[in-house]
Amino acid sequence: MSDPIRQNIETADLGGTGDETGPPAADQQPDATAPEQPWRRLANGMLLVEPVRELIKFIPMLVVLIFAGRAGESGPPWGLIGTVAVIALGISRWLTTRYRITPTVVEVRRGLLQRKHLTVPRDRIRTVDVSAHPLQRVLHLVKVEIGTGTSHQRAEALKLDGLPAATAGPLRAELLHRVPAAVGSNTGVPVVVKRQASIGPAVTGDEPPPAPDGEPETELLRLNPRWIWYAPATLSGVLTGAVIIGFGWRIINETSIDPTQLSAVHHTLRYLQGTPLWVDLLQGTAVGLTVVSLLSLAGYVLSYWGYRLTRHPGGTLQVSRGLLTTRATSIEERRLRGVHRVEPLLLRLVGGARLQAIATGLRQRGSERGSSLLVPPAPLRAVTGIESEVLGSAEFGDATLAEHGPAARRRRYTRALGVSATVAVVLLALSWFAHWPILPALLAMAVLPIAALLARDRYRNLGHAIIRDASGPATQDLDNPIGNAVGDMLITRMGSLLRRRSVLAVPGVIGVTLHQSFFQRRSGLLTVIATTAAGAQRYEIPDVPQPAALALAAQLVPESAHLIIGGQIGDAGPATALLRDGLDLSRLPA
Amino acid sequence: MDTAASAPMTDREPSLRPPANQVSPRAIWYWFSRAAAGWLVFCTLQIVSWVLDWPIPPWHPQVLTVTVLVAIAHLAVMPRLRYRVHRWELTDDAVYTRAGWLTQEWRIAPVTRIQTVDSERGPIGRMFHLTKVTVTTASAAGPLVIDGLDEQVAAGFATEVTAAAQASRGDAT
Repeated sequence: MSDPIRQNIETADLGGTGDETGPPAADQQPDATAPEQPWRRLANGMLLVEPVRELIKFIPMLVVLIFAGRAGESGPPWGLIGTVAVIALGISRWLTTRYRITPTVVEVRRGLLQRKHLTVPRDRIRTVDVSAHPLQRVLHLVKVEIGTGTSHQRAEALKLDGLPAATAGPLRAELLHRVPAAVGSNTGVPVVVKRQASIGPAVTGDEPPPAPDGEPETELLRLNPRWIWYAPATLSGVLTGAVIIGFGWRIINETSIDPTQLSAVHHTLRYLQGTPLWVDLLQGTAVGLTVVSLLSLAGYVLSYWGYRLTRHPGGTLQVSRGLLTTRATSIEERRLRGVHRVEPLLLRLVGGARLQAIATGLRQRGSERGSSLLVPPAPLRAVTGIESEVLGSAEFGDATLAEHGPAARRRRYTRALGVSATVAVVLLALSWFAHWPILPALLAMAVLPIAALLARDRYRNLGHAIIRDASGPATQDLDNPIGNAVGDMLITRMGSLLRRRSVLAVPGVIGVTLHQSFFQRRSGLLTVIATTAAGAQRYEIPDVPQPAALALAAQLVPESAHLIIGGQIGDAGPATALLRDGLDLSRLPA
Repeated sequence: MDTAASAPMTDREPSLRPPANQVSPRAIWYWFSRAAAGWLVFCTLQIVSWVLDWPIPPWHPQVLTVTVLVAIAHLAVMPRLRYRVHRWELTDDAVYTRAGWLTQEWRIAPVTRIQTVDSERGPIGRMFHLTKVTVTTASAAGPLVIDGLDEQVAAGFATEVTAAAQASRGDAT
């Protein structure tokens, strides 16, 4: 991984204007000295899968074509021509795609008109994602996606859509659990074997041996069918419901059907008109809740059925899940920088949570969003169990977090109450002077206690801690002299409607930003933002009192320590005392 | 604790020292022109809307007056304040910037973590011979931006940072 950086810096050296930092792997050619590997086709079964999938994709268009063909009668058989064209398109994809896996690179050539040649050096491979939709499962085929963890949006993922399912396991093991020395000598790139943020118990410093096929794996967690009762609390059905309503609306619009003419809708409307408004509201809410719950349950079962989290001795965590479309994601543990626990309010009330991995090469956006999942919505106990298993210590799960003090508490209340109070006052004034109805003003006032409760909860959840690595110099990262002790962990928690708690390895922090708005300056608070190459790229610790914020910054990025002035001598403030005593913020008094 | 937290910072409280260097004084007029151009477009749209008697915004003369007053206040305060706040420094082991005017932001990136140094000159920047330098790390969040650097200072800074980054080892993640 030292290569792309050097290239980028050289680019900067040559003038450093434009955005010349394209996908680091894209332009690397395979090593000419490597033994020639044959180009291979995808599995034959894809000859069936591709046309069927194309047909499904083109169903709306084919329907139009078939109808057009029938209306013309004498014209050419459009429906047949369209179907043949679509099938040919599917087959052409199989015909034009070739791939090969050499000791140094994985290459894919594809495209009929626009030929593409994608090359990924194997030492850049960070994730291997194996999935299969129902048709592929019938034919024992899988899609393998190889991620290099580039931060570049336009970089294309390398996909092998259609490999025999039996080869997926060995291929994943081969791609991820490589022998670094061999790869280094083949690419001519000095591979620095580093254990950055070596989370987990396997901190021996020795690279694990190449994993043999059928390696033993440890199961850390599997789906308990009772967990699906957490599904309604995730409200994931709301989104599905919205999509269905939107889709239905479009169909109604495009087919120009008047929905009130349908007998079911007609009767429902008649019934609703016959009953008082509050009954309608009550019934509507009940129906809405039922539908959302059912959709959430269905979504949960579809996405997480068969969920298993396993650890492979080669140093990867593997998550497999899915009812119809199955999916297996491998996360290299040396890419892991921490975990992110998410507790939406409802899920939190019923004692549930979900867990994501914070790893480099796993973006939490776009199509890769789901690939960072470690534990689906499940009981908190199961989630914390996996947290301590993955992080190698239970210490991070139940650490006491430092509160941020009265100024931060006040800010929570000002922000929650300020807006709703302003709205209430304006509405009240309007109803008084401009003779608006009083109801909106009353509603706005009714919101105030809820806002206060929210503010209280938001402050209660706000907190952070730095847990120092107790294991001492034995785990010092000798390959990384600039880093501090491996194992220091930053914990930050915030939010109420969506409570987030992140545990982030401090050596994975690559910069620090201190943000202070006008109002924060007046209350002596700062928001500390740890930037990292993993996960969400930035993890916030909001509204920290200035002395503690600076101590925290110095903890996260040691280079910032000598930029801090004042407060070292003769100051009895608790945070500055901590600054003197080795910056242990976990001991910050509440 | 209430009074202690809300009182202004005493000199006993620790604070970040300001970065050593200011940007070019020409940046004041650069920011002024950039903001003025924006306000001009906004006012022109309102005048067009007034002349053609569009329904949005309502109360044309009043809204336009308020816009002009806000623009004058913004143009009078923002460039100077921004110039006072915006500072930068290359220390032995880190790039350190401060930016903003109402909202302020300090950013620190260790030299060992730096990946690219980009220089960029927009049309208005070129008029004032000013360059915007962006220092990026492996994180998609938190590039350090120094806006309004003198061209030559910017070139020197880019070279220095590049050299320092090359001297350090590691993959900067």
